[in-house]
Amino acid sequence: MTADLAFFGLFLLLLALGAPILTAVGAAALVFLWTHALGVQVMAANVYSNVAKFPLLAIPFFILAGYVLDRVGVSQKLVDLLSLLIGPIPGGLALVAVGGCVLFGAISGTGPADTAAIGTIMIPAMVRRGYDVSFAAAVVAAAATTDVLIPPSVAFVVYGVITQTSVPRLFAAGVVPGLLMGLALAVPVYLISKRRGWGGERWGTLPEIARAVWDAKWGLLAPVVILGGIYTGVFTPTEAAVVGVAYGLFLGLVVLRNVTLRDLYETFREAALASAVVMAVVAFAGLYSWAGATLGVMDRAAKAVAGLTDNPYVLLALLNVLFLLAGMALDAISIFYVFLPILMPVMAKFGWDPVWFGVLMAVNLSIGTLTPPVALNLYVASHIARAPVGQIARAALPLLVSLLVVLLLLTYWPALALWFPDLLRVR
Amino acid sequence: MDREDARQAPRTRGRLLDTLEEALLVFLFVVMFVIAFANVVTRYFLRYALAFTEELVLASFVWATLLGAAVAFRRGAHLAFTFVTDHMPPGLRRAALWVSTACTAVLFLALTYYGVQQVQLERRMGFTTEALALPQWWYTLGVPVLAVLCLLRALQAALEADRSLR
Repeated sequence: MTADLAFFGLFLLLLALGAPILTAVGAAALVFLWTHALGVQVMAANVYSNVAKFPLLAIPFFILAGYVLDRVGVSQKLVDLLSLLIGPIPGGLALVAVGGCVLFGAISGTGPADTAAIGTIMIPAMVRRGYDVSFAAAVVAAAATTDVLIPPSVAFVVYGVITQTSVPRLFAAGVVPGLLMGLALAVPVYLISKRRGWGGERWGTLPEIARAVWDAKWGLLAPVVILGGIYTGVFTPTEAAVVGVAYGLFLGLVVLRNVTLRDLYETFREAALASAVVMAVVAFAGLYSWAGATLGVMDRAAKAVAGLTDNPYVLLALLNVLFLLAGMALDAISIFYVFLPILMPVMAKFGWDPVWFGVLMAVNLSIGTLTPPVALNLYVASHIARAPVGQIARAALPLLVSLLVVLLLLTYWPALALWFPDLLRVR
Repeated sequence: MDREDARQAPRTRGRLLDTLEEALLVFLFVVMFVIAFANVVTRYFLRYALAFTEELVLASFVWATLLGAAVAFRRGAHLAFTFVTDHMPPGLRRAALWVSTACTAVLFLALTYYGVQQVQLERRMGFTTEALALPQWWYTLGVPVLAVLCLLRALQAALEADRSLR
């Protein structure tokens, strides 16, 4: 028992000391492998095989596809189109930002990338139009949380690999909750904008709209290219991600000819770096959960969690609070590696659908990207807006409450997530 | 992310290594993409599987991850929970920095050590890869080599952070 607490305690202690997450999980795993003489010799092989999994290859390629397509300029065209369609409503530009994040979410695989892509366009645009800068940044950061739910999603790839769940089914299950989160955000955005007098844009004429649809065609086609292949059963998620990259390169080099080799070098470098940051956590968090499983810590923790209560609704409420708290301090990937070995037996005991549970965790953790201290979306938004994180976090509060309503609905109504994949008949 | 600004200070030494590191990272990513794309094309359009090249993609993926981790150490881009340390006085903050750096160092020293052992084991046993029948240790060798690079970059970043706290 003491040893079990130490297993989690050491990790938390290192985390509190500001160590990189990969160090916190890696060093804690190492200490326990050493002290229990548990086959530490295979450490290098373990780290290698944690990364060298074919399904995980979808991660670098989805990240790269998002970066390339953003560089090619599809996000600007998507935003231009949305401005004509929903811009005239009060709070128009803010609503365009929400819609833009949701749309770009269908191209990009991570929330911070979405925040950067839409934020660099929409935050300055909103500020020029008189919106409060913290509000503008908060809207983008909050709307980009939908990226975790809207396929493709890097978090779902990792969840699928750990729990042996179908990634295409997870992707499909995220669609409705993701769109609902977008709608839930539109309500406070509209109300606040109306009260603060941030009006709508002028109405677009029909030819203008037609023109904008035509200009946005490459961006609108991107999700079709990326996701279409997965749902027609032609491509695996990894292959679809590769095709997404190829599509972006084809646009930039052949069709639009608006990227230079130098641009591509930078885009590849930044995507490789973003991928490495995610994958380094995967490499060492995998070691941590392997050590925990070998020690039997995870099983004992699972029994403890399952024994907390026999009432599944109470347990779900407790888990939601736990996930929200964990999401404040950790990223989704390390949370999956630390918690899922504990929670998989719990899911089995209560007969919870692992796909629905993955979506539930993703909603929780995406809300966590909005809550300091570790709030990736807020950091990116604050960087773009040049406004303090604390101020943006306060402006994001009403938006966060709105997202919690979606979380509550999803917690007690699993069909919300499972209806769509069942309709598509994806397994 | 906050630490990112502090790192923008111009540095004169080590530029060449930085550029080489990044160029190799981009190269590995290009290799991954080119082979993976060739796989998709041949499988769906020529109905001919190049699946045996998959292990090359995965090896590049592992190498790119460790190499990118080294770059991320240098740029201070690794995910971390800095809330507690951000509220510490500079002296305590430096102590925390060095405890955490020591742990990072031990982690990558261990990875280097066990990586070398793994390479030796694979050479001794003559392990070959499943699809291409290459010596397994060719792939594994990247782990200890890049672990050393991660170690050096983590120490370098810690020294820079330490200087800014003094």
